[in-house]
Amino acid sequence: MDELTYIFISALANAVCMGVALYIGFRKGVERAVDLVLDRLQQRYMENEKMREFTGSAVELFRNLNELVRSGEVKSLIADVSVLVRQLSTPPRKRTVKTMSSE
Amino acid sequence: MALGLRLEDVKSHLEKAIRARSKRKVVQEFVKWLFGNVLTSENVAEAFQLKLDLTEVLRVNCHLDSPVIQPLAKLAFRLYWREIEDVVCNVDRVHSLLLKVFPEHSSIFSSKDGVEYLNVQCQKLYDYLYSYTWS
Repeated sequence: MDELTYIFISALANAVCMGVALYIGFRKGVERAVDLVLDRLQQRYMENEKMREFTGSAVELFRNLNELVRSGEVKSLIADVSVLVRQLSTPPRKRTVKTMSSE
Repeated sequence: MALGLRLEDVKSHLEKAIRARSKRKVVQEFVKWLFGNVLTSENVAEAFQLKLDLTEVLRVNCHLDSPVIQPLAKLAFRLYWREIEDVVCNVDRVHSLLLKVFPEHSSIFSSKDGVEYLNVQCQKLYDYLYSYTWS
């Protein structure tokens, strides 16, 4: 993994976390909006087989995400991620090196 | 002192450590690799006799200044910081480990000069790793 990939993945992970957090925050409205968009997508791409497959997967993904949010699993995932981020970004107190007696 | 570590090898070890689920297994494998493939009886004795700067040896041989390695190393060191501190901050532990792996050099490790050298190197290494990892 080169540095650029690393930066890209970090940015992507941040974006996903923010997206999920926003999704939880505005769940009701987002749920309705997602439903509408998905319905439209399904209607629009029903004729094209490949697009129908893709849209089907996208719909499935959103529905699963919705289920996860409802079951509270995403909340615990976000809590775990924020604990890890805090641990990794807060420098610990510097320890004293225990030396050995040379006598 | 050249330990013959390739940048690709360092990178793959760091990636493995970051992805690993069991910290304990990673630490065991790292110690095994360090004393099995990297440090030899001769170069450890040479370091003590010539009083080499171990921080510099680590920095150069592990390519820690490379822009490819730096982000990975910082993340891996942060993930394993407690384990790193437990060893580097305890000179007695480092000394016992060296005696266990290289018993043939016990007189060098336990001499007054050897112990003083180890005390200084552990302190320097800890200071370097702390600022490298957390700044």
